[in-house]
Amino acid sequence: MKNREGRMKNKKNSIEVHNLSVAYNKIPVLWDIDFEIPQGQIIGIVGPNGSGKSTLLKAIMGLVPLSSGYTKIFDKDLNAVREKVAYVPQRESVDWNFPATVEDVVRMGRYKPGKLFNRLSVIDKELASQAIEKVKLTPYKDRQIAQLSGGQQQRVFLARALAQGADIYIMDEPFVGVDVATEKTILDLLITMKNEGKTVVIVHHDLQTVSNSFDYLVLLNTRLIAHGPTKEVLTEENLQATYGGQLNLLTKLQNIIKEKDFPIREKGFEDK
Amino acid sequence: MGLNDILTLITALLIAWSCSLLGCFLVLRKVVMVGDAISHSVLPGIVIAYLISTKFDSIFILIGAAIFGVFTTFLIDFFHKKLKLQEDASIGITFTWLFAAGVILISLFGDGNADLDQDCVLFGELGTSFLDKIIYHGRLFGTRSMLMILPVFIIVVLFVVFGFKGLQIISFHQEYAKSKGINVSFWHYTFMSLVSITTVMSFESVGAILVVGLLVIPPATAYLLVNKLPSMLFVSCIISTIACFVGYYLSIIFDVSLSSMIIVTAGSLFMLVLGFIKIRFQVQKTVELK
Repeated sequence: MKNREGRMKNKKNSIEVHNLSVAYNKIPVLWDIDFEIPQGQIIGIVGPNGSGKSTLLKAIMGLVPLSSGYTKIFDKDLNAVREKVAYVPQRESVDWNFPATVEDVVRMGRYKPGKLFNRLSVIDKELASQAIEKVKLTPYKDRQIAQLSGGQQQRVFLARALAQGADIYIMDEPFVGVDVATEKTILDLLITMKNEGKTVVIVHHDLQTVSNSFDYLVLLNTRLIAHGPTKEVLTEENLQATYGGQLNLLTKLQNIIKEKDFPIREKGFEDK
Repeated sequence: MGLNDILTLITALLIAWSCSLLGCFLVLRKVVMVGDAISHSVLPGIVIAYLISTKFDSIFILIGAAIFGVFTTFLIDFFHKKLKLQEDASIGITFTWLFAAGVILISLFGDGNADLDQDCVLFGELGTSFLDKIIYHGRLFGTRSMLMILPVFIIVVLFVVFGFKGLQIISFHQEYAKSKGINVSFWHYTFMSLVSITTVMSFESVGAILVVGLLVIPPATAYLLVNKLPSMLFVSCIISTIACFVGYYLSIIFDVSLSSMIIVTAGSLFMLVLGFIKIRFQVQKTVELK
């Protein structure tokens, strides 16, 4: 009986997106997106720069107004399951000179809307310490966050999400500007999380680097190109549709260099 | 040190501490200029409230100011986010417009009124605030300015202590706070109305222009020195305390405006700290090179 329930649960979707459109200044960034993603897997949302990947995450997290459509998490409205969802924003989205230590930031993962006026409990602090340990930052826990490398900063964000103890982790470009060691730490951690039954959704801009680790892919370029298990989705045709003319070798190289050396979407490098 | 000195200093300190505490979050949230705008655009609120109540130290003033403060914030957001106007332009339009309206209201209705004149609004009268003592049953309770700022100071301290986590998380990353379901608008507007109220209560003493100095300079100086938010709040208060004491004695020695002297001192402290940090950085670098 227990087994059967377990199987039933596995079949349930973690995130559903239906007829979703989002526009900035009347220009559509996402157009009629419709998909479901399973639980307990590592899911990659992949597409070129400007394809609306980050916007899709923000739409799921309720951070941008929707032009149409709706999203559901565990078959429920986002507000009903917020604590179960941890959002890991892009590293460039905050000012790292903020006067806070690694520990301060990770403890924010334990902040809850209704309990902001209360002090953090011993358990909250313990969970934060454990999260710091998991990302191997314990020796740095009292460091001001500006004095960390890019990879370490990314791990701080990951630890903050882990401290929340969520079931779904929604991560925006966690591999941008991180060193190889951090990339491996993060990937190992993601696999551990998957084995614990957590769902990890990662926005990623190119397929070269870590695509082997994705179990499931959502290919995006303003419209939904394809979604499904990685092996089924990763066809020449789908990639052409996603990346268009960009897929020839030279531009591919250019993209890699560009994205390694510059923060994504930096002005002046978008159009060539 | 006479009684009047002590009364003036206490008033100055209460104002400076309230501003320093709130200012830390203005600096961290990068909305210092919104604070500046608020300090000017609450003027029509004060005048209108004054005209309704005809008593300057009334609760109406607080409400009027808070309303106009929030209205200013709202208007700036509206111009910037909805109409896609640049943020600095939105701020420029909003506060000059409202401030000018306030000045016109004063010249229309405030004629011959000692409490409400343009010089006072711009520069404040901290140096002479001790003239207005509140004496009840023969006992001195303080000056009017002091009794006006005291409750605001208490509210600010309580808000910063108990609302620390909320203020911290929205200052660090508003979008993340929102993703956790935290009511960002509530925090934003509560904070901004507190800034408005503090500004208004400091109005009479330091004026609309100099209050911005107290909101920005001590927190910015502290920002250079510390790497934890609680220390920033604490150091910011220390800096403003030094500025008040030193500014007070300098203003007596040179016989100049007290509020201006406090800001000049605070600004000089900022430059000193900046210089100190630059030199220390250079020394560190040369040591490392050797």
